[in-house]
Amino acid sequence: MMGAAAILFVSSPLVAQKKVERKIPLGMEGAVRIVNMVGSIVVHGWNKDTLMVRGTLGAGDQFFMGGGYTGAKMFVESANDRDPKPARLEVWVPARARVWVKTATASIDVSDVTGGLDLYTVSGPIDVTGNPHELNAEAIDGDIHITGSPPWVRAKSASGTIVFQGASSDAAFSTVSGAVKVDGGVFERTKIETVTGNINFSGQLDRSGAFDFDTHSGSIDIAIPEKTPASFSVVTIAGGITNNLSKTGPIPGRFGRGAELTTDVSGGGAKVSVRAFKGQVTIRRTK
Amino acid sequence: MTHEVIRHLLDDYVTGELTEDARGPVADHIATCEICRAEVESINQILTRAAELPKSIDPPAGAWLNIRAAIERDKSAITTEHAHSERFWRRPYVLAAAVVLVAVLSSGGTALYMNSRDHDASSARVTASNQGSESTPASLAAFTIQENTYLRNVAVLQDVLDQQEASLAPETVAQLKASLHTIDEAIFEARNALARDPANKMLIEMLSGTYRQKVDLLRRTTEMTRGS
Amino acid sequence: MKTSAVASDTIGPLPSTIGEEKAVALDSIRRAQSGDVDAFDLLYREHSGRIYALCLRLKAGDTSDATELMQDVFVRAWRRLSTFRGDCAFASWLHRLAVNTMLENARTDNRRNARVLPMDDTSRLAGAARSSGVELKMDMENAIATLPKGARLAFVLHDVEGYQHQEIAERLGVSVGTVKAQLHRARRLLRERLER
Repeated sequence: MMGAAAILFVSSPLVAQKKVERKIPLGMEGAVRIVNMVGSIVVHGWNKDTLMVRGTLGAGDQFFMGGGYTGAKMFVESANDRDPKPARLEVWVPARARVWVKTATASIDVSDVTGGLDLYTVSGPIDVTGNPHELNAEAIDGDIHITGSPPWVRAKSASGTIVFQGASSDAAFSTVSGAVKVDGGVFERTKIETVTGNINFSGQLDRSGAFDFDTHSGSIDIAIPEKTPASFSVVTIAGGITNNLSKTGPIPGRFGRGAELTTDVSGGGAKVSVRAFKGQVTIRRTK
Repeated sequence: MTHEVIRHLLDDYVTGELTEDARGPVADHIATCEICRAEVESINQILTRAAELPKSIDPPAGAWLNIRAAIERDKSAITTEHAHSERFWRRPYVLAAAVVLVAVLSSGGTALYMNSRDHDASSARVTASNQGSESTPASLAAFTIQENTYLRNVAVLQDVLDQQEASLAPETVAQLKASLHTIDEAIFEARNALARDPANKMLIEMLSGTYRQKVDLLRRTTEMTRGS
Repeated sequence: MKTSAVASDTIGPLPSTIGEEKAVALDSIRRAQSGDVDAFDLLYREHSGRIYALCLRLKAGDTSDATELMQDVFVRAWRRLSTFRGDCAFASWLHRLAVNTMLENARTDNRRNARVLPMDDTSRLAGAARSSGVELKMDMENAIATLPKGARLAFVLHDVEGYQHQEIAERLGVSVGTVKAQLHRARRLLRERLER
C-alpha cells in the first residue's frame, strides 16, 4: 500500500506522559495507516500535502511513524500489552487521503476526509463527519455514528448501534443485536440487516433504487415522504405487518402464520424488500 | 548488403525496427527484388491477420463461479488484508483444524442447533464441494450443501478465535459470545421452521443470510484480533 | 445525488452522475480492494474476455487449460489487488499478471514433469488437444495453436498483444535475440501453414 521512497522510523525516548508532534510531507491522495489500541484517535482532513500528528502517549509507550510521499504509517506501542495505557493521537491528513485506522478500544473520530476511510475497532466508538468517497467502518462491540453523505458506505457492528444521518448511493449496514437508525436524505442502494436489532429507516428513496431490509426478530420501521414512488414486498414468517402507506392489507402467510404484503405506492418505483422472521414490520409516512 | 543478408532483415523492416541506416538499402533492394517483395507482402498479411484476431473471447460460463468460490474460501480462511505479505504460516494449521473439526464441531452454539432432529439428513452430505458462494441456494438440497460449507467455515474460525481469545478484553469476549449465541438461536428457530416447511424459499434465504452473518462476524473478529 | 442532510461542496463524484467509464472502473477497483466480491465481479465481466483470449492463445487453443489459467489469474488478481496503485491501466496490470501466472505455472509444471517426461518443444496438434466448446474463428487461430511453444509465446505476445521485444525477453527470461528468432520462426511457420 505504500510505495515509500524513504522509510524513517523515529522512536521517541521513554518519558512519562510524553508529547508527540510530527509532520511529514504526504501526497494529496496518499495513504495513511494509524494504529493505536487504547485512548483516542482524532483525524481531520485538510488542504495541505502534509501529514501532521500531535498527541500524548501513556507512560512507557513508544510512538513510531514513517513513510514517504505516497504513504505513511504510525503506531503506538505499549510498554505492557496486557495493560496498555491510553494514548491520544490527533492527526491531520490531506483531505483526499485514504485513511486506515485500527484500534481495540480507542474512540475514533474522523472529520472532513473526502478520500477513503477504513476504520476498525473492537469496542471503541466510531464517529465520522463529512463525505468520504468511501467509508468502511467495522466494530464488534462499538457504536458507529456517521453524519454525512459517503456515496459508498459499509458499517458493521455486532452489538453496537449504527446511526447514519445523511445520504448515500450504496449503503449497507449490518448488526447482530445493535439497533440501526437511518435518518436522512436520498438513498439509492441500501441493505440493512440485523439479527435481533431494531431497524428504523427514515429517508428518501431514489425511484430506481433497491432497498433490502432483513432481520430475524428485530422490529423494522420504514418511513418515507409523501409521494415517494415505491414498490414494497414484505414477508414475515411469524411476525406482523402494519401498512400505513396504502390501503392494501397484508395477507396471512403460509400455514396461517406470519404475513405477506405486496403493494405499490405512488405508482411504484423504488424496490423495497423487507424480510423478517418474526419481527414486526411497519411501513408509513415520515411525520 | 547482399540479398542473403537482407532476407534476414525483412521482419524487422516490416515492423519498423531497423535503424535509419539500414532502412534505405533494404527498401531499395525490395524495390528491385521480387522474392523479397513477396516475403514482405506475406509478413504483412500475417501481421494484419494477427491484428484482426478477436481481442476478446467469452470464457466458459462457469468460470466466474469457480473464481468466486476460491475467493470466498480465501475470505473465510484467515488471510491478511489482501495477503500482500503472504502469512500463510496460518494456513496449514487452519486447514488441518478443518479436517479435524468437520465431524467434531465443538462450539456450544453450533451444538445447540446440531441437536435438532433435522441434522441427520444433512450429515450424510459432509463431503460437500465448496459452493460457498453468496448466491441464494435455489432449493433445500442446494442449501444443505451450502450449510455444510458454512459449518466448516464456522468451526475453523471459531477454533482460531479460541486461540486468540486471550488478546481480547473479557467483556468483549463475553459480548462476542453473546452475539454468536444470538445468531445461533436465530438459526435454530429458522432451521426448525424450515423443517416444517421445506419448500419455503424465503426461509432458505433468511437462514442462508443468518449463516453468512455468523461467518462474517467470526471472520471480522479473527482479523481484528490478529496482531496489527 | 441530492443531499438534503449535510450541505457540503466537497462531495466526491459518483459513478451515476459522472457517467464516465473510468470513474466507474476506479470505483469498482476500490471497492474490490476493500473486499467487495460483487465489485470484483464487475471487473471480471469487464476484463475476462480479453484475458481469456490471451490464455486461450497461450495455451494453444486448449479450452480447459485456458479456463484454468484464467481462473488462476483472477484469483491471483484478487489476492494482489492491494498492490495495484492506479499508476497504469488496470487492464495492463491484469494482462501482465496473466503472462506471469502462465509462466510461473509452466515453471512449476516443468519441475514436476522434469523427471517424468522429456522436455520437448513439440507443437500440439490443434484438433487433438482442444476440448470441445469454443469455436476458434478462422484458420489463423488454429495455425497459432500448432506453433511450437516458444514461437507461439513470442508471436502471441508481440504480434497479437503488442508487447515489445525487450519486455517479452524479460518476462520469458531469454535474450532479445532469442525472442526475435522465435518471432521470425513463428511468422514463417504461420505463412507456410496458412498458405496450404
